[in-house]
Amino acid sequence: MNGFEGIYHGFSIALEPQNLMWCFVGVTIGNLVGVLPGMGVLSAVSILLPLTFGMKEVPAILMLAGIFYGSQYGGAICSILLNLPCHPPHAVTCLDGYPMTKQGKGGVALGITMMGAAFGAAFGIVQMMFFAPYIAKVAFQFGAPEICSLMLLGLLAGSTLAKGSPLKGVAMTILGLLLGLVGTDINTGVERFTFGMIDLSDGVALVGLALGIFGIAEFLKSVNNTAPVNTAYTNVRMRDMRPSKAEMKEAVFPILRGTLIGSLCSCIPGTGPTIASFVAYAAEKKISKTPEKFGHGMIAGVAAPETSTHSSVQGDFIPTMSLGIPGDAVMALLLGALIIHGITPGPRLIVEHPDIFWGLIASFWIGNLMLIVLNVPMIGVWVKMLMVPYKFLFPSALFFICIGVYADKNSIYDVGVTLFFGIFGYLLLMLKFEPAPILLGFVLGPRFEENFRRALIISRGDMNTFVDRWISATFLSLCVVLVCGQMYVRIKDKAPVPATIFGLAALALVGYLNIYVFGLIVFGIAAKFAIGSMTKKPAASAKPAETPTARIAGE
Amino acid sequence: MNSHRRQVLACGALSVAALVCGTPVRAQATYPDRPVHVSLGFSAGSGADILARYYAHQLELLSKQPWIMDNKPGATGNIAVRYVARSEPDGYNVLFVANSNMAGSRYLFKDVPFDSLADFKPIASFAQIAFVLVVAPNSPINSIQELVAKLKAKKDNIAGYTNQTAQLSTELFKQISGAPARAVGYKTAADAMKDITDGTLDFMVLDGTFAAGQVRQGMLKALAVTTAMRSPTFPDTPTMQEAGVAGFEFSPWWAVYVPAKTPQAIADKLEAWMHEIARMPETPKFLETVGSIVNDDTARQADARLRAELPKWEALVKAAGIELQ
Repeated sequence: MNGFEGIYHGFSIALEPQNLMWCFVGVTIGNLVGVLPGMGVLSAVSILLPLTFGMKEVPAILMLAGIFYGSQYGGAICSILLNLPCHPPHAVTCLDGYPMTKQGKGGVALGITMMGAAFGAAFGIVQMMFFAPYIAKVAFQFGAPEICSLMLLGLLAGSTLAKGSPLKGVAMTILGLLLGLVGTDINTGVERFTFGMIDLSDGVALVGLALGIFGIAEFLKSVNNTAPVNTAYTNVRMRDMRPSKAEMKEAVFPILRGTLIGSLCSCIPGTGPTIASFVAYAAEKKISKTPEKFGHGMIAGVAAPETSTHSSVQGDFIPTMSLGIPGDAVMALLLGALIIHGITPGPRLIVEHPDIFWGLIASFWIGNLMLIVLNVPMIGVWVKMLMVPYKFLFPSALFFICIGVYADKNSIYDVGVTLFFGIFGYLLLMLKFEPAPILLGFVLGPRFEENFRRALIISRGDMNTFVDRWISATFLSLCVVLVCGQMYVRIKDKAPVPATIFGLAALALVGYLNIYVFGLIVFGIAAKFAIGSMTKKPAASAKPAETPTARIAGE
Repeated sequence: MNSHRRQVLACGALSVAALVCGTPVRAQATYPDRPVHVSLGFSAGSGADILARYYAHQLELLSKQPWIMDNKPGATGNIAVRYVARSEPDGYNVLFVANSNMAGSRYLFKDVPFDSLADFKPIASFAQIAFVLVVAPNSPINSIQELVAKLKAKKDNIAGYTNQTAQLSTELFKQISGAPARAVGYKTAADAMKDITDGTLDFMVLDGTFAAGQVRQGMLKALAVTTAMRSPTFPDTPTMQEAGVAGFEFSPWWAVYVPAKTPQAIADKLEAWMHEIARMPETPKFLETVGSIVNDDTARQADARLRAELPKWEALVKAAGIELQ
């Protein structure tokens, strides 16, 4: 069955009234889950999984899958409007989405998001229709050395994620790497930085960290502002929501690049939408002619990561459905649902159960269409949400955060973690540290370390494994190009403190050095700078902090 | 005045005491008269969860009360065990748990927040999961004997594992067969698929739930199962003992526990239900789909099983060089 025959067959299944209804139920629940802060798609799928035991297998899978991609549509809404990353993949959207809201362009940002979502998802589905077997093959080219080199590239490219002082950005990345170390080491079983608490033995919860340092920190910051902060940009007229022609033009290429990065990430095992959106944002900032504008409401900074998330989410289904190898925990749940229905997921699923595979693909088209119909008219309603007085809006958001984080693992401990990082994130904001690179280090760092050590065990300790394999070698050469490029620009500009180089070298050495001490030193220096500049003159301190950014702009 | 107050207090205390004393008797007769909570140390949708939910569902039908699954993943399941160890011994807090927590945790971690022997009352051990030793599909090796011979000849071998039970199974296999291999950890079986199918790993002990489809569809070649008896999920695969690894028996098994102070009458009721489920014709059929075999152990047998395994885990943890936390 080729792609066209398959999709024809698929539509005949997906359009059956029962299947259509469950698909709609799935995407609607997903959309809601996405909007609720902290309520993860994983917990939503696992809560609803038992419900599907009594259903037929096709509607069960269509519904569960619908929750997964549906939640991505809702996820961006709170990120953009409230700086609340309800969903880790959308954390990076806060960086430019929230400034856009502050400028009264929240509706535009949401509009661009929908465009990107539709395009990214469509690309992902087409890819799955025609190229699933080939992509599955590409995925099998990625072993430990390749993933390790890719993560290194991601860390290097993303080290300039933050606006403001590059030194501070690097300090935050390293802090993220350190946070990523918390938990049980996979190879030796040693527990690192858990302070004897078994609740920490799986590490810090990503949802809690993201919601804490973005959402709650922002809340704590604004709560002191007695003046009503957001009335200025809540009165959005209908025509303000439609992206203008110029804005559309600005979004086109980021959307294309985001799609590519997303689909690439979905091919690589274990590299889900969160990494895809971070990499897309970092890449966009690197390519941009005006990187200094990132973090102040760049359309590209919303379009690229959002598109990338959606294309990666659809692509995630490829290894799961074509090989029976789940790309992440949600996919493992879907496979679990198949097993319950007596279907063995494996490489022959497409041939043995064409109803499921093609029905699912057809339902992707239908489901995404439903989501756009559901969401586009809703943009206006969402933006109106900002008109709810601050004193009601944020406490209720906080309430939902607590419920969502708790529901993730049925653990009150994680709620505490979230609040802790909220306060910590607030301190960072006060000291003018950008929290975004923490997430980058936290997401990429552990995967870098894990694969670095695995690659070396497999190669029997031979470092050449990273350059002997062409994919890995390509990523490493890109790293070198990146570092040399930065150095060249630095030397040409005769910058006084080559902070970026220092930071990049620090990142590369992180695997070897006693990084705990090292990280603390860097953090300490940066903190000293920050406190120093704050205690001198608040007005004057803003300027020196801004200039290095402007310099990076030239790179 | 004062004495009057004392009288009132005494009356109050007595009636509270009567209530407290009276409750368990009544509760045991009508147990369960409200929903029962099952704690499980694995996330919803995992192989363990699918298995646990089947039993919870059957218990629901037998007890005519809802059985609510509380998935408390974290710390390789120890968080759920700790939770039940500290919860009310009223029969409404039940633990579904694997031997890795009950037998293994005390050797794998320094400060285990529960004592698997003193804090719990066994109800039944109900299922065994077959782990399988697999090699690449195109590997020339077709039996454990050939694998051992090749491993001994090549020396610098590498074996993958995804959890502690698999890691210790690998260790036991190395000990008995004398084949050298260095173990490398993966977070999930999916992570390891590339390395095992292209022969980067010389062999791997894998969870049968995940491996079933891959083996059946030719993505992996199974050489032996780790259970003492053959698994209906892998009918053509010999056990380790049949394949010549004498004395090898090391596989996960699942059991039901309640807090130690739970009334015996309630424990007996639960045990009877578990046996009833084990004897249902659909039970082995369902367990086969998740790569498991039915156990029909009594509470005493489950306890004996646990006690017999303790020294085995202790020795293997030491041999595998896993550092105590």
